[in-house]
Amino acid sequence: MGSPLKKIMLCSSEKEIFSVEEQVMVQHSVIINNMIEDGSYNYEESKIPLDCVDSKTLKKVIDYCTYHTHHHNDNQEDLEAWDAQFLNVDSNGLYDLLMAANYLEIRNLLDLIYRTIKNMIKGKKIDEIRRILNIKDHGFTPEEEEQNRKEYPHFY
Amino acid sequence: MDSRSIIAEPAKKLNWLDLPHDVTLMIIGKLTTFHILTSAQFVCRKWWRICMDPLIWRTINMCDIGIPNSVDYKLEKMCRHAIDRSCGQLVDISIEYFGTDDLLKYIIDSGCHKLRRLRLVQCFYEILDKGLCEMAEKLPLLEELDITLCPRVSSIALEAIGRGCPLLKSFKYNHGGKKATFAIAQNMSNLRHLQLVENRYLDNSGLSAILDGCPHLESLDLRRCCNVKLEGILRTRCDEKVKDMKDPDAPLDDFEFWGLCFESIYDDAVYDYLREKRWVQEREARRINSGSSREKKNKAKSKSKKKR
Repeated sequence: MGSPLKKIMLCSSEKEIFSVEEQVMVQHSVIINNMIEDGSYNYEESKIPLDCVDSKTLKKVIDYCTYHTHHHNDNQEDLEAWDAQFLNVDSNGLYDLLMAANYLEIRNLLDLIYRTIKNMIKGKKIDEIRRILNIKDHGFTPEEEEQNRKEYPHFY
Repeated sequence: MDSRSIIAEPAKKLNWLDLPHDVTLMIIGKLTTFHILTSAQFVCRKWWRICMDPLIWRTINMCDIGIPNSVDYKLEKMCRHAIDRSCGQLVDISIEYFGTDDLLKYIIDSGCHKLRRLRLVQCFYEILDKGLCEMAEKLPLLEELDITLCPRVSSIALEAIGRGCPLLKSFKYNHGGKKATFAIAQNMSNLRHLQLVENRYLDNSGLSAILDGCPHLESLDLRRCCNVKLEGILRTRCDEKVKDMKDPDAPLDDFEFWGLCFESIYDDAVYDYLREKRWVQEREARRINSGSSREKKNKAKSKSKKKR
């Protein structure tokens, strides 16, 4: 576990540097925790490059980790309300957050995003799911698509 | 950020199909079996392929589908299909309404011996002792079992389960029958959690036997067991032994099937289910009959052709 005062540097895809309390990231991100533990991070020089995470998304990820580090004793309802507000983003924003959380292995954020996506597509018809996830090319041949439609006509 | 940049956002090309395989697997894995089989697998070819992965089918959840869907979409057939796809990796299955002895046999015959959790809910008349007894022998890893509102399951099945499933830790037997308590006390000594909502045959001596026979019990739910009178030594024993105790008169609000604890609602539910089911069977029978009569006609035609 890192000491509370130490800071680490994260570098977004736009090469913007974010300075974060080490403890905040170590607690949430498996990847960063591993880097700190195996000593591959140099506090004087290192910046952790996150080439696939843009600044806007990285800022949000840091917000999430910071809030959950400092408010983990809050009651469940308040935390859930904060999470819901936090994930009140469009599907592009959600996608970016999902990729970032997956890359940094932030398990509780990943779980939250999975649940949100589940609620977005739960009970929806096939065409609606395609629209929500912006899937233009489903990749089925016209014959296969017709066959599928025949099997479950109520679900398209 | 001004509103223009928000509007400009959709131009960014994001493709949910580009997500890594394991991330998509997690997303689909959160959906119910019914939703995967009827919708998610048809969304695109990538999802279709992922839906063939046995990992998705380690959990099969076919609850909360509602009576009309339960009879209309041939849930048993769907469930068998899901079991096939698990390739023996199944660990957790929940079945509501449409469970039958045949389906239990199918689970075993498909090589799903790693099952850890089995839920049979409101399978009113087609899960019998026979099916459960045969199944219990083949499920050495079962840890959690829920038999709620299956009135044909008796103490005979419970004894077999106790013998066949030594790892059983959590048992729910709501609306259960006679002699259940002694079957539990004598055969399920490893239980940590026991729920016996609305068991009118349970009395103080039965409860004593359970406390003796299941020394590791951590939670015990006896709501609406109206013949248990928690007083004196029995009260003290429960409070000392069981961390999480729900008394017979405790409120039912967090019990999923609380409505069915009232006889008239229960009877209505059974009646609705049987009526819908009979209706679908009749329709199916008509369809098959008309099919076979057509076949006969065709055969007759071809015969007459041959004669000529």
